[in-house]
Amino acid sequence: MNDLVQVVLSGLVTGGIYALLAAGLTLIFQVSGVVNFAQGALAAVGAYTCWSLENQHGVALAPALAVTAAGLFLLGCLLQAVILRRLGGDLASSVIVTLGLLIVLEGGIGIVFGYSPPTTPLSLPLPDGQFNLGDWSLSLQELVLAALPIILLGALFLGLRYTRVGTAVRAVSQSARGARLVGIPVDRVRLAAWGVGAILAGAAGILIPSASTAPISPGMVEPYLLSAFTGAVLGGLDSLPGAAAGGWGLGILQNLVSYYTPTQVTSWGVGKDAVIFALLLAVLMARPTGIFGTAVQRRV
Amino acid sequence: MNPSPNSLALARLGVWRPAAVAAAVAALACLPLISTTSFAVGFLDPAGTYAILALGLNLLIGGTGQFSLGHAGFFAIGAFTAGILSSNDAWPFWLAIPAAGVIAGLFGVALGLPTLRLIGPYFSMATLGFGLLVAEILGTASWAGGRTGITVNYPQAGSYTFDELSFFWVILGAAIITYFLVWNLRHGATGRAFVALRESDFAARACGVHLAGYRVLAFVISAVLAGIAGALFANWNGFLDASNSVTSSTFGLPASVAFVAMVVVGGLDSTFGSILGAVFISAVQYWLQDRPELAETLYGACIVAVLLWARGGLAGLPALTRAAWGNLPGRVHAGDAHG
Repeated sequence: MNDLVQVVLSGLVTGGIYALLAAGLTLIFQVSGVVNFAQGALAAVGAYTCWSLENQHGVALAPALAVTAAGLFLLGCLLQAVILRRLGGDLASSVIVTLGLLIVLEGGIGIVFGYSPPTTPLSLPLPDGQFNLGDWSLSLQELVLAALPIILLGALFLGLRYTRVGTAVRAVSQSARGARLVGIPVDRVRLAAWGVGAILAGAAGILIPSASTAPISPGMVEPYLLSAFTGAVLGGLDSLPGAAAGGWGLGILQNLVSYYTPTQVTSWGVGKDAVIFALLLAVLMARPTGIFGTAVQRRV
Repeated sequence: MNPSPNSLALARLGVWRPAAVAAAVAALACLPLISTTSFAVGFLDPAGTYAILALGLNLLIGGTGQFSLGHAGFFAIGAFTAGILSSNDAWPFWLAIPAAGVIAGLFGVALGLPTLRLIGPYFSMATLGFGLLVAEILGTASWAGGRTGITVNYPQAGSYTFDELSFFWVILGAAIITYFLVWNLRHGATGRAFVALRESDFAARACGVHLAGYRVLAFVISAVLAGIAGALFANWNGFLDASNSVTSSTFGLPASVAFVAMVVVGGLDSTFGSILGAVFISAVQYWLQDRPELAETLYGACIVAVLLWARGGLAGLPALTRAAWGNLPGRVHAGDAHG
């Protein structure tokens, strides 16, 4: 039983990263109609910025995080203002342009920091030891890692619900034209959504090294992309709680699958990713609007 | 591609065009004689191989207007099929390469049918997932070499053993056949059906174009060509390993992006443009092989620049330049689909 709870907890850790990435994708898609394939690269940019500030410039963690968040916000705004706004909502073009941005950002990281992963890790001050609750003994580090995305996304939901900016974002995602008619500065709301989406990506990027013990590298988010997109699709790309719940659910599902998969099957290379991909195809085929999303009408 | 006024005049003479094509092919065929092995492996072989893949992808993008982010998956399937067949089972390369195309095509059917109804970014996400999954499986599975990779023998025909230089002739032959196949498909009834579907699937169906059939057809042909390109790659590269993060630029997401970049930078509406795009991206990768991060940034920036400023890509540049000079009014059709 303790094993199972530990498996679910580890699932919540990876799931939290999926949830952050999926929520960022969804926020950006809701408001600007662009599926941002560069989301993973933004996450890597966040991880490298924070790592560089801490390890190369000797900045303490808290200010480093603040500067990273501010930088990512500006980067997100910049992408929207300079590039994506000019495409005027052309879906096919936005796919290719965000792909182009994906490799520009990854290559940019390579130019500044080199392709080989840095030797010093990006480490967060996480507590060691076990947390005992009744019969359960859980890793304290994983508890904190699982809690951080919950806190961040909780704050985001509250902000969208109860602040003026949040209301404006929700209005634009319902109808950009309607929002413009009632005097909401739609372009500035889009900028803000891109900025916040980039911050969410960066948060995922900063958590990944602690959650996976892998070093940071330009392509470090690739293993997380499939689940992040599947999570966003489960939310129909237009439901933030749906995307986040999808992300967490996938994290737990993945961990359960690999826990119960016999090793013979794993050696064939068919494991958790195959399950996630099957789920992605199934959801896209059966309910392109996702499980939590609202039905959209398509113009012919 | 728009012929320049000069070559247009030549083309009117009738005999010159086939003669020019023959001369160009002959010049290309001479390349292995004057090239070094490192130049062949670094540029000639990849350019020819990727041209085949880009031509197929061009058909898909031209046919459905949708962007596949999973063609590195078909490329990898083709490469590993050919590699395993010719190394473990000692198939000759001229059988292993078509077999790789068939296997990749079967996967194309398997992925093409369920993704048939998906539009725009949803299609891209599904194919992205496919590519990531294939790279993951081939990178870990023991039968695909697992973490050590597999070595592919030099291809043999009878008693002759090809090397990296002479194998370029095989690639060149395959690329020329592919070009004529794709050109014919795009300029015949099938091509018109593709264009109709891309512009408005609703209207196309009203005219009796079989939507599902043509979409799957475009997808499967592009998968077969990607598989054949992968098989050619296995033969001249001699080593396949999908596990390493360095080689994720061969089989992973960066490769899929590079493939889309070839078609986009070459020009979405031009068959010949895709060859130009493949040659261009291969050239960038070759000249900057010690700085892959610069190469990536450069062609990423090219994608964005083409989308923002030059929709016709490389193939549309002559028209764009002439439009900028303004000395040839009425001949500006950047999207002209003349190979």
